[in-house]
Amino acid sequence: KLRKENILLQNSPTILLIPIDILHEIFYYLQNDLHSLHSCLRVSKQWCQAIIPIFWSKPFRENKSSVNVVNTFLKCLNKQEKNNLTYNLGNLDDGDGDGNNLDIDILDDRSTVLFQYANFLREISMQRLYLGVNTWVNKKKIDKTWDTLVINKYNNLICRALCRLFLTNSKSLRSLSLDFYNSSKFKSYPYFPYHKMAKQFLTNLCELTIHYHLSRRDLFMDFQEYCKNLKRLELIDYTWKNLPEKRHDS
Amino acid sequence: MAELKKVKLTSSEGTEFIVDRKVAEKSVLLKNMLEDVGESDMAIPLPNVTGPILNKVIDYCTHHRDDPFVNQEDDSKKVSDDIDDWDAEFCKVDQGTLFELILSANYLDIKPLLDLTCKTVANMIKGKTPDEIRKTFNIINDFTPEEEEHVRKENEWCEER
Repeated sequence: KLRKENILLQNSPTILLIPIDILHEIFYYLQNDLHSLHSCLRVSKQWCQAIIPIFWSKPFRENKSSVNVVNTFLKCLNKQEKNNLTYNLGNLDDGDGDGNNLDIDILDDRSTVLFQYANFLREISMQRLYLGVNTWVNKKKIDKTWDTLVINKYNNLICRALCRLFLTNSKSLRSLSLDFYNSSKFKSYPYFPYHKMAKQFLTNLCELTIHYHLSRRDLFMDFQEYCKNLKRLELIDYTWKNLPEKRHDS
Repeated sequence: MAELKKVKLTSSEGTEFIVDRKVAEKSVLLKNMLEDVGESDMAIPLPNVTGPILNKVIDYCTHHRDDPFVNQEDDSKKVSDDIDDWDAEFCKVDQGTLFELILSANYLDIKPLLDLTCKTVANMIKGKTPDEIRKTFNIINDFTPEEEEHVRKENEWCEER
């Protein structure tokens, strides 16, 4: 009887035989149930590999604090970016001039990551990114008396480093929201179409949202050059007055 | 009329099944094959599908023979709690059968059956701890404790409430 059971066990397929793309299908049904997915992540290496891309397709989510997302992304920076960021953050003037401003051991070269998480990004909201970084800076600051002006300087440096990380690694971005309307301090930032990796970064983009009250650049037209697969475009508060007439016909 | 035509299928053990062409065409693999081969009395061999599983698959396709073909590409709309009573009853099988159904649905390219079986497995996972999941599906943990902690740490944000 025992032998028969053994044979049965060998012959009956287990979940281990399910190919990874079908596992993916299964996990997609759990994509909004982060708690269950997080359990799956730790089941085995195969499951982990199937789930990581789902998790990191949209890491900045509502009702989720982004401190740990920012933490992990900062660990994903390459050596040069880490060094630059450490240097620049250290040089920022927070008033006391001691250069010791932020608890940034996370930028230590030795803190390596298991995956290049930026590869999997499919949705970026600049507002959520900025808010996440802002929370992160507030948590990591050593001098608790900083005013928002000082904090904004740190936020900007980190946001820019992360945007560069996304630009150079993400190849399957589907949705980009330039929703700066609350974070006016981060104005300098719709530079995505001007980066040398812009073509690769923007080529699969389906949804572009621009909530951006700024008239100095013709942002929309510049995006058009690379975003050939757009299905949805949302413009709010965009100022059209600088639109060059000669580009109307394109 | 073409729809009344019968199609012969043979399972891996050589058992012959005769089904309506319309039922067989729920499988994209068979549909393409039938289109390519044209009129023929030859049985189509399905070496990857056993008799009992093929029987289940035919049950499913017969019940859903008149369903419209839906092409759902949007991953974000995937939910697992829209299973109707007949489908839920259909999936009340042992795990081995369920996984064989998944593999067969994948091989025969029957998207609604693949969706249904995947949803069923997703529902079995819901709300369980890693250990409970391993126990349910007989999976061996191949992480070292350090690796598991590393994975947990880098993905900590998902745990936050």
